[in-house]
Order: sequence, then C-alpha cells, then structure tokens
Amino acid sequence: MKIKGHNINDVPNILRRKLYLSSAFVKRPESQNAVISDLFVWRSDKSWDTYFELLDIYGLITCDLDNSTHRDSIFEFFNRDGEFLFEKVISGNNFARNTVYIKNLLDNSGIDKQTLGDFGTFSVFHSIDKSLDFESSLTDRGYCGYEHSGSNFRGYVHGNFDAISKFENKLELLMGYGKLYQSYNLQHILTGPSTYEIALVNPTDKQQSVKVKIITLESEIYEKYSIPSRGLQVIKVKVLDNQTSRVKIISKMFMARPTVFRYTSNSMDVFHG
Amino acid sequence: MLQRKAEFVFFPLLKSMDLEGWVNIVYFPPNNWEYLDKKPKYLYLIYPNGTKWKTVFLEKITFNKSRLFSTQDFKEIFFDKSLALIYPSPKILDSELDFLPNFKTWSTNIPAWRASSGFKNSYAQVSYQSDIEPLPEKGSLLTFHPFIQFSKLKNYLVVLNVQSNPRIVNHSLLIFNSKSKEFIGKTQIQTNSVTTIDLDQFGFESTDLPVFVSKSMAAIPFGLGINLDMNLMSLEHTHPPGSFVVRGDRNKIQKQIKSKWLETLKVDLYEN
Repeated sequence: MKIKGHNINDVPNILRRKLYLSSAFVKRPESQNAVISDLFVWRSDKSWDTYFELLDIYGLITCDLDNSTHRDSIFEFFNRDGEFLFEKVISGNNFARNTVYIKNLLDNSGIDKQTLGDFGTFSVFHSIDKSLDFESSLTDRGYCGYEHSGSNFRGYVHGNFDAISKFENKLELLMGYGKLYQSYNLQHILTGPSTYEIALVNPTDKQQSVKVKIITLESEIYEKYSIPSRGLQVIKVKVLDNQTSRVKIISKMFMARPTVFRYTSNSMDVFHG
Repeated sequence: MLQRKAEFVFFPLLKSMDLEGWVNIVYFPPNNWEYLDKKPKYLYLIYPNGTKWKTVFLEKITFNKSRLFSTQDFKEIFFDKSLALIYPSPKILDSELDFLPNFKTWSTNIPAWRASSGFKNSYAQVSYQSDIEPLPEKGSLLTFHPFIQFSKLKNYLVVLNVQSNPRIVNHSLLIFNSKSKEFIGKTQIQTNSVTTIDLDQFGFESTDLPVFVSKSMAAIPFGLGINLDMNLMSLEHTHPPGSFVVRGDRNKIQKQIKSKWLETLKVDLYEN
C-alpha cells in the first residue's frame, strides 16, 4: 500500500524526518556564483599549530592550473565567538599546492594575541573565472593539517560542511537547524589513556545551545555551552587507562559533528567524530 | 539534496605493512530519530578469497553496545588481500557467498552511520570515520593528493576497493604531476583489496600536487603518514572531484572533471 507515492512502511520515518529536519538541511546560497567554504577549525597555541592545504579548486574543476596565478583565495578568520577577525587574500601561485601556515597569517594580522585567542574558525573563498556548468557552485571542503607540540608532523582531516557562502562581499551561513533538540552520538569510542579535545563549530546563522553528555561506565556528566554563529567550542575529555567513554551532543543543529583531537604523552590523532 | 545511502553497509578492517589494523563498531545510531530497529545483529567478518566471500561469525551484538576488532584477533590468511569487512547481519549467513550480502541492516543518512577504522603500533593509533558500500565494477578514480609531508617520515597511498563480486582483478594506477601534467609512474591496484604504495619513491616536492588516476577501478584513496620514530601517524582520505562543488548536478560535473583530466593527462597513452 502506498500513501502519496511512499511505501506505507516508510511513512513513520518520513514523518520523523519532516519533524526533525523542519528547515533546509543546507540552504541554497543567494547566487549560483556564490562561493562556498567549510568553517575550518584553526588552533594556534603552545600545543597546536594549524596548516591549510590551499589548492586552486577552480583550476582543478576546469583542468586549468596554468591560469592559477590569475585567481585569488580569500581567507576569512573568526574568533571562538564567531566574531570577524580579519581577511587575508592569497594570490594564486605557479605551483599547485600551497601549504599555508595559519600562525603566520594570525601573527601578521596586526591583531593582538588576546583578541585572537587560541582557536577559532576560518573559511577559504576561491575566485572563479566564470559560472560552473550544471548549475553547480564551487566549495572548498579541503584539508587541514594539525601539528601537536612542535612535532613537525601534521595529522590531516578533511572539511565536512558546506557551511558558509560569500557573494559580493556578503557572508551567509548555510547549515540548517530545527525546532526540536536532537542528539548526535559521536561514532567513536573514546579510549584511554589519552586526552580528547572535541571541537564543535556552529555553522548555522543563530547562536546554538548545546548540551554535551560524557558517558562512562561509572558516570554521566552533562556540560552546557552556548556557541555563537561561526563560533567554536573545544571540550576537553580525559580518559584514564583501561577506561572508555562515549559522547553525545544535544542541540538543534542538523550536523553537530565535531572535529576530534586525541593525544597521549607522545602521539596524536585528529579525525571527524 | 541529501544522497540516500544504501540500507546495508560494511565497516572495513584494514591491514597495511606491519601495522595492526583495528575497527571499533558502534551499535548506536548517530542521531536519535532516524533508526528504530534495536534487534540484536550477527556480527560477521567477511573476506575475499578471489572466488567467494568467506564469512566468519564473530558474535551477536545488542543495541547500544560497541565492539573493537583488531587484525591480530584473526588468522593471517583472512588478510591475504589486506582487507576484511565487518557486517552487522540481521540473519545467519552461509560460510561462503557469491556476492556481498545486501540485507537491510543498521544505516542512517543524516549523517551516515560510521565506525572508527585505523591502524596502530606500539606507540600510536590513527583513525578515520569509516563505512563502505560496495563500489561499482565499472568505475574510475581521479584524486588529488595534498598529504605528502617532508620531515622525517614516510608517506604512503593506501587504496581501498570493495565490490560485491569477490573477484580479485588487477588494474593500473597512474601517477601524474597535476601542474606539469608529467607522467610520474604506474603501479598496480586490485579489487577487493587494500594496496599500500610508497609515495616517497616518486620524488614529489612540497609544492607538487600529485594526481592519481585509474581509468577502470573506483577506489577510496587515503594518505598515510608515519614518522620515523613510529609514534605519529596521519590517515585521511581524499575527496572525489564531485566534492569540489555543491548544488546542480554533481554526477555530471564529476564526469566532466574526470573526462577533462583523463584527456589532458593522455591517460590512454600510459594505460597499456
């Protein structure tokens, strides 16, 4: 039996989907010529350094890296509260891979360290020569490398969201949120001995209340946060030897999926949770 | 528009060189509204022997539990192709299968239900969020790889392929410099296998962006970095070219990107 073209067994799931996904999962940007970026996590303190692999995305789409020098990339930096910090334009190179050391951009921004803070978010918007075919828009979901404790070694993690668009100098947050609170269960079991730092970005256009539940065999701990739009909260979880933990993130965001940093006394791992 | 995933999924347990592979699977969904079936599932390890998928029953898993498996838990023969899959089956499986099972099991769309898969040694562990649906038999690979590092470490490309058909078939992987379009080398990859390729042999520089191409086999490529002290590792997969865009027809633009690059790189010249 079918209802409005749907198999009757699928109807409960469709209703739940309509209930929880009560607005667009990702908003359509204002124009097809808007360029889109993830909100990447930057960290710059005595423990962490951040690198970004800057590629000429338009050149890769069009198979034209010969004209990369005519294309620019605009980095927009935000602090942990999502406040705009500064913009940096990086001109295209006559080579294909530019590993950008984020600390250099922060240090050269002219903004004092206290205003910058130790972490925040940034986006990378690429210039395009002309509109893309098939009504597509360019997005950078690229790769950040994180170095721990001056190890001279980067752990890489790819971008995940089409979080923010830029069109005619106007920024627009694209990721959706609903009317109901929903849970995101981190699909990773935390194992010790180690320390985890769970970096949760708010890629929506509204401040979000977030409850984080840390679950071990012995206890459940709740912590509440308020993350401004474009902002970032880093939640530290220590896991003892032979202990495991789980993390549940409760918010109205459709994708409360964090970047997870795990480190021990002499090693580290970074991945999407 | 969200892409609807298949309702069956596999979680890879990978082997690479002398690293121990591990996978930690979780029987709790990523969200609290999309998945309602809480029935116990039969966990199987499934590996290819070239003509069949061999299945090994592991245990039953109940809702809200997780389970960690390591390559060291199993016989080496299971990892002849450096690949095994963990499958949460709703029913008992035969000991040999002609194709991967496709019974509806745990699966979600927003986001996709994943496990943690990775490698470890005595000092470090590294992981990525893993799930894999069988790839099409007629597919191709084009990927750009910005993960090579230049301090005291080794750089590898790890190529993962899973198809429903258990056949092991060799394919060519061609390596180019994306900027100069120079042909750098050619190596072999296989279906239903994990192939590890030493990237340091090709002499890439820090401003080079290697591009890897297979005209006849789809795959998931990873960058694996290991420092010489063995206490730091990095593992991440690259995006398919369709991920450079949103909206519109991503399949068409991915085809367009692939065909432009295959033509420009003159891939046919180096295939044979």
